[in-house]
Order: sequence, then C-alpha cells, then structure tokens
Amino acid sequence: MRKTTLKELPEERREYLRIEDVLDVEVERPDVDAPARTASSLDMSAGGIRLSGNQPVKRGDMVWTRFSVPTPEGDRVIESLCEVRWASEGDAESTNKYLFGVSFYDIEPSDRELLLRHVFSKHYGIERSAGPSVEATDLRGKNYGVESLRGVSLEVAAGESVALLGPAGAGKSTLIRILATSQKPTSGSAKVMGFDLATQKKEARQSIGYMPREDALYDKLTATENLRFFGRAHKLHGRRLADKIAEALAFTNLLEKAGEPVRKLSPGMRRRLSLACAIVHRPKLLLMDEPVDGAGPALREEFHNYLRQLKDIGVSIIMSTREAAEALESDRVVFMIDGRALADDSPENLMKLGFATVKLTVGGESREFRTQDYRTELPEALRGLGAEISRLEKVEICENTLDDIIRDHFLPGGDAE
Amino acid sequence: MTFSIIDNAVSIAKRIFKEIPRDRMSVPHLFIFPALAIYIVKIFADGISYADPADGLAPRETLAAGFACFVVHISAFGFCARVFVRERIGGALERVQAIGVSPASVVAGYVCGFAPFVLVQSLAVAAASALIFGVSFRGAAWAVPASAFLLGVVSVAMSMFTSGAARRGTEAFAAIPLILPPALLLGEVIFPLEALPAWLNALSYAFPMRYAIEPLNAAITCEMAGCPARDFFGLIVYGIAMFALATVFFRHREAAPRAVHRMSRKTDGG
Repeated sequence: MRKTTLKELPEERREYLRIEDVLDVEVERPDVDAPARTASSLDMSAGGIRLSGNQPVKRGDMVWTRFSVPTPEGDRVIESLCEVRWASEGDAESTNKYLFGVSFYDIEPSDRELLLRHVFSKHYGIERSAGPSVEATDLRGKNYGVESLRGVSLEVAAGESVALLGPAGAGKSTLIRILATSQKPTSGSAKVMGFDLATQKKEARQSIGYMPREDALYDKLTATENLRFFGRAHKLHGRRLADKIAEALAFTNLLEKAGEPVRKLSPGMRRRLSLACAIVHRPKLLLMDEPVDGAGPALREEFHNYLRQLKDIGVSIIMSTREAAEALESDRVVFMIDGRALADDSPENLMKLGFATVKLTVGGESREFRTQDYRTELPEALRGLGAEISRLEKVEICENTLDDIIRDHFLPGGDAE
Repeated sequence: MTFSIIDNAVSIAKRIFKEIPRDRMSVPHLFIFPALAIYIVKIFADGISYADPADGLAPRETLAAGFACFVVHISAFGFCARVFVRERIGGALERVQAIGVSPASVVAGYVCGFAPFVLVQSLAVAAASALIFGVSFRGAAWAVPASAFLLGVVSVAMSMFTSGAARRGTEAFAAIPLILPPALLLGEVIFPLEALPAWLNALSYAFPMRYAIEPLNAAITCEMAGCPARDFFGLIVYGIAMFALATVFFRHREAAPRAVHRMSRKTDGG
C-alpha cells in the first residue's frame, strides 16, 4: 500500500480546508433520492474541504457532510451534500487512511458564509503576544502645518479595542495616521508589535491594517481586484492571496459581490470592502478612522459584529469616532480634544461619572431628583412617599449619555467641577 | 413684481461691487490676463510671419506631425492627472503609502501602466497625420510614433510631478492651462523658436514639446542622425528629470480644504 503524505499532495489538494477547521464532521453516503438543489460550490479557490476517513471513496461520489460550527448562540450544525473531487490513500497504519477532498454541492448561502467566517477566524493565525500591541509616548504631530496632536501617550494590549473619541480637530486622525505610518510625528515615539515606527517601519507595517476615513478604493475595479491590489502590495501572491481574498470577502459578507465594480456597490458595501482591504493580509493591529460615523444602524451593527470577531481572534483595534455611542462598543475610550487625551478609561467607568434624573409624578405634581445610582435610590424614594404612593402616577428615568458626561466633565464650561 | 426684480438685482450688484475689489484674483483677471493674452497674440503673429516654407519644412507637414505629438502630450498629461487626483482624493493613495509603497514605485507604476495606451495612441496619431494630412516622411518614419510615444511617457511623469506636488486636486487641474498652451507655443509646432523673444526661447527648455519636435523634424526632413538615441537624448533626460521631481515632490494626501485650513489655523486645532 502506497503511503501518501501531505507534502506529496498536489497544491490544490493541500490547500483544501482541513478537518480541524470545523469542530466535527460526519460523512455518510446520501440517500439515492436525496434532493439536489442548485449547485453551490465553496468558492475558496482551493475548492472545498479535505477530509479523512476509514472507508474508501472515489472521485465523483456524493457524500453528506455535517459540520458543527461555533456561533455566539451556541454550536450550529450545517449539513450539506458534497461531491468528492479527489481521493487518495494516506497512512496505512492510520485508522483514517483515506484522504479525500469534497466541494459543497448543495449548501444554504447563509450556512456557507457562516462556515467561511469561522474558517476566517481559524486561519487568521495570530499568536497572542504578552507585550502590548501599541506603545506610544508623548506623540506630537502636525496636520498641514498646524499642531494637531500635542503629547498623547497610549498603550494598547493584544486583542484590546480602543475608541478615540472627540470632536473634529481633536487630533484623532493625526494619531491614527502616525500609528499607520502614513505620517511622521514631530516628536515622541511609538512602537507597534514591538517595532519602532521610526527605525523599523517596514517590519511594523506588516502587522498594521489601515482603514482611512474615505473608502480608499478603486471605483473602476471589482471588489476582488481591489483586494488583489492591496494584497499584492502586502507581498501576498498566488493561492495564498486567493484564499485570503475569498476569506476576507466572506468575512465581510461580500462574496456575492466579488465580481461587481466598486462603483456599483452601495455605500455600506464599500465600507465593508474597505475593511476587507485593511485585513486582507491579516494584520495584528487594525487602525480605523471614523469607520461608521454617519452610517445607518444596520451597517453599525454589522461592523460591531466584525470587530467583535476580530477582537476574539486577538486583533487589537484602534478606531476614531465623533459619536459617543460608537465608543461604548470598545474596551476603552480615550477622549481627545485639542490634540490632548483628557480621559482614558473603560466605557463602564466613564458612564459612572454620569447621573440619572428621576421624575416622579404624584397626584399631578412633579418631583425630580438627580442620582448616580437610581437603582438603589429610587426604591428608597418610593418608600419615602409613604401613604402618597397610592397617588403615584408616573416614574420617569432619564440617564446621562456618554455625550452628556463628556460635555459636563471634560469640555470647557462643563458643570462637573 | 418688477420692483422686486430690480430691487434684488440692485442688492446683488452692490454685493458684487464690494466683493470684486476684495478678491485677490481681481487684478490678474482684470488687467494681467488680458495684457498677457494680447502679448501672446503678438508673439503668434510675429511667429507666423517669420515662418519660411523655403527652409525645407512644409508648414502643413510640420503642423500635422507637431500637433499629432501635442495631442498625445495633452491626452497623456490630462488623463494621468485625472486618475492620480482621483486616487488621492479617494484616500486610496494614502492607504497604498501606509502599506509601504514608495513614491518612486507609484510614479513608475503610473508610467508603465500608461505606456501601452500611449503607444497605441502614438501609432494612431502618426497614422492619422500621414493619411489625413498626407505627410510624407522622407526620413525615418518610425521616429514620428517614437517621438509621440516618448513624449506621452514623459507627459505622464510630468503630470505626476505637477499633480503630486499640488496641495489639492483643484490646484492640479488649474495648472493645466499654465502648462499645455505654452507647450504648444514654445514647442516649435506653429512657428520657429527663432521668432520668439530671447527669454521665451530660454523658457521653451522647460517644456517637453521642444525636445520632441527635434527628432520629429529630423524624421520629416531626412536629417535623422545615425544614432537615434542622440536625437531623443533631450526628451529622455527631460523624462528622467520629471520622474525624479515627481518622486521628490510627491504628496500622498490632499491638503485640507482652504476654508477648513484657515479655520483650523485660527482655532489652532487640527
């Protein structure tokens, strides 16, 4: 019996997804009457999934596959009819000596996307380092001759997301551009993944994904062609590039639009493609300049999902925003104004600086009080009403938003002090 | 109704009367540009009367081949500026630069990317000048498309220099009228350079048409040198200089809009 090792397999077979890319798989012969709906193959350039088993199969066989893919809501089982595209015998001593590659023949598009997004995470391949992803010390920078960043220090841990929050002209974009190596600081120092941006820019750039405020895409090219261009600029080529493009498209839900020219995509799709271009080389640090400011709720929610998944993989994220609600989605909020960082804390701690206004309407009369912890103080206030509680008509609670807190505590003229 | 129209017209006229003296472009618009235009017409008239068909060049042939080159020059320059400015305004150039792609790579990429189109266009205009205008090339016929092609490639590098050095896209396009008409007038297409005042003759070295016309005329008049590289030497050196300038003065990001920039200076913000 001839042994076939993985290295002997032709490249297109080696590039098939491995069995360990999914949690669990069951393969069985299909019922002869199994309905075959429209054919839909896994367009990952390599074609499908590489499996191993203890039963011989041959090219052209149809098999049922059942995958278990983890989702935030729990494991999801995906079933699909697959066609065996190649088969060979592996290690004779192994219990699973038959190697074969299958392509999806019949799979729901949503299942295919879920599977690919899961594979995207599996293939991302970040080794979490103990050191910080970003260490910036006393950074100063200019924006066309005007000093827009005046001594900001920042440390970001691996897998941490940080929101730079502030109004226009706060220096957020200058800070992002300096970290993206698109602009040099006038003073101060910064390291990305331990590489000094002044002396080891080339090494640092391999770990950085940058999504500018504009879409930064080529309108005349298709989504795939844009990704190919940026991938090649990151020195990716051939099958490796093709796989990364397919996975990035799947991750951003753009597989169906892969061949569309960018000019025909909706603004939301363009933002998603811009994100795909920023992560096509699988960076460890993602820098985004106002990625969803002004966007609708659906796109925001999509981006929150993408960023959560990237964070879970271990990608550090720094994004700038002018909208406090966006900043609340991050692990940390750095509030910036006039080129300085005025606050750097978790959204929870910042929200504790706020208060709630509680308004009780008793017998047509309004009574208001402000409290930092209405959950404790409201029951006490209700108990304090005594017999009047029977005349209580309405309880209204108005909590401070992060915008209110920033206005009161950090902006000139705030009433916090 | 009539009163309202007149009233509004009067208030608008008053506003414009106040605005014009405060506009810093009003003096150039009202006085300098007309004077310049009159001077250019005078040079043109002098040049036309200076041209002598007896010097071996039929004006029709020179004009046809010269304009063919000029068409390639304008087209390559303008098209490249449009593509480059669009890339820069869209932010893609900043993303490319952040990846680590050098300005030299960008300029070289543009030059190489445009070259095949310039080649096709050069062959087309050379054929058109021969067929439509009936130009007969007594010298090396290949020198006409070769001149046009080299000029087109040099125009791409020149366009990268002017567009890349411009702070904003609007500045890049505003530079086009300052570059292309002088290139025609100072390029010996319409009349000989000897017809120009000395200072304009010296200025003509700054425009690539002058270097392209030399081998073109040589091709028409059968005076092409034994070594073609010698005839194209000026154009090649000019192209290398433009490439170097485009690399050095490369801006990958648009400047802030003028109003925002002024405001940010006042508030000292960023």
